[in-house]
Amino acid sequence: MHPTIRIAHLVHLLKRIEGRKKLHKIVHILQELGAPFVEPFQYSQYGMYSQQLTTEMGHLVRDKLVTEDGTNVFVFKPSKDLARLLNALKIEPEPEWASLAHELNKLSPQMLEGISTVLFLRERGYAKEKLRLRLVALKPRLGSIADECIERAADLTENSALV
Amino acid sequence: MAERAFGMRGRHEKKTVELITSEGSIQEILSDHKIDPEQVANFITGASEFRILVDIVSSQLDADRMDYILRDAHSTGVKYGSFDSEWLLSSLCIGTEPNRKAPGDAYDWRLCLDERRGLHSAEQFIIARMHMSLQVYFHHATRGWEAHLLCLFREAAALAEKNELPESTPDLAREFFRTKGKAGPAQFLQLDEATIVCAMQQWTFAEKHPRLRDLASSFLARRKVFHCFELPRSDYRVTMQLSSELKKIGQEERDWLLDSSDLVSYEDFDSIFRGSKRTPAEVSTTAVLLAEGALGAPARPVEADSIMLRAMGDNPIEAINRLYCHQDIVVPVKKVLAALGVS
Repeated sequence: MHPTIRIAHLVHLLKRIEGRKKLHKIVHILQELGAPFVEPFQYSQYGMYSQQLTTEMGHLVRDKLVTEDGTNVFVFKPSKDLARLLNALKIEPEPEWASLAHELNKLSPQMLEGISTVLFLRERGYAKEKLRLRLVALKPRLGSIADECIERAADLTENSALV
Repeated sequence: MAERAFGMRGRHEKKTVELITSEGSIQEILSDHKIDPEQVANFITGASEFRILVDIVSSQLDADRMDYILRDAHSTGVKYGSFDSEWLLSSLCIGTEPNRKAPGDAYDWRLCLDERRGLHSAEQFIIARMHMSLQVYFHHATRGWEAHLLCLFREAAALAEKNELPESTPDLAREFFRTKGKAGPAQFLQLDEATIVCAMQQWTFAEKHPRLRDLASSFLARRKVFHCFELPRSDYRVTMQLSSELKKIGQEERDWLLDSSDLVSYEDFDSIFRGSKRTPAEVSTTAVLLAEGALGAPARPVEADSIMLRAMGDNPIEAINRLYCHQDIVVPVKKVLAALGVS
């Protein structure tokens, strides 16, 4: 499947994604939990970020398949054309990652940034207290929710049918 | 090529971190010099509190980029990749992250160019990179041979998964394809071009696997079997429909592949200009930064001070879109392109 089809499908399913940060973190978390998103991510000043995802969203917006409105926070919504296109392409209506994506979209950008960073650190081999210390060192402003981020990341991994 | 063939999981940064942090000679050398391998790994993955050290390893002005552009230009014999690297290096200074209070502390420091000395070398560097991308990295012949190799790697990986690679395949190559590029550090260090070429030489005798034999022998003999269609800039609807229709003809990345300059592992040369709506995260991650020169002075994206770069930002180069397909399916592919109105 063309990688952008999957991103378009995500926007179609979620109906509304508030902010580029939220989009990047949702895709990264889904990927870490086993969903077949292929965009390469790198850790940056603002957490996990994918240049390819930014480019793909730029194309979808330019071709009017997705709308992007806002000033400080950009809100992504699917256009009517997108539903028609996905229908024409006979895309599976509810992929197995759909419910997880809905669950993630309900979380705040800060929580998603924390969970995404925890998953990244875990992939790097960090665990337990060392992971917590590293998370707080990298994201001092998430200090008050660090424990919750770690717990949620663990819950998501344990309960995800994708892993 | 391994990254393209086997997805992002094999990214070279991750492999480098494995090599540095796992037991072995690199870890020993670092430890002998009282350097924590874990800290070095953090600079490589970007997960360090000291962003300026990350910038040296991975940013628009990183050491790798400055090196490979000159080296690739020299090796390919083109003049496009020339820029004054010594002047650029001497123009580097330390600024404070955009949108942070300046002068910031060491956590907010960023690698910048001195606004009085570095502007023109930054322009020269960015244009050198753009020309190398257009004339070398994304040249249709370069990408054509990469497409060939990619399809061969995918074919080999599919056979390795079923344990059906020819017995004569070297063990290192077999493991590389079986694990889809995720072989352990010790094996990875031993794997080189000679091993892969040796595997390909053996595959030219693979009677039971005609596609593997065909792709290996044609690659070694430099016989072109992938046809290139230059696709016009089209609506994404067409791209997605094309992708769906081609699947009915052959396997993606085995028989055909859509190649776009937006969807490759090379760093994107015009990414810093693209899009008028930019978030602080994007500016921070992708911009070349200028600063006044004093330690910790506020940093800003270079395009604000450069007429040339602003003009490039206002008129971005269209993405390059191509379709590569095996010569066996050229006729049905032409029919699909005609049906979709892509000429």
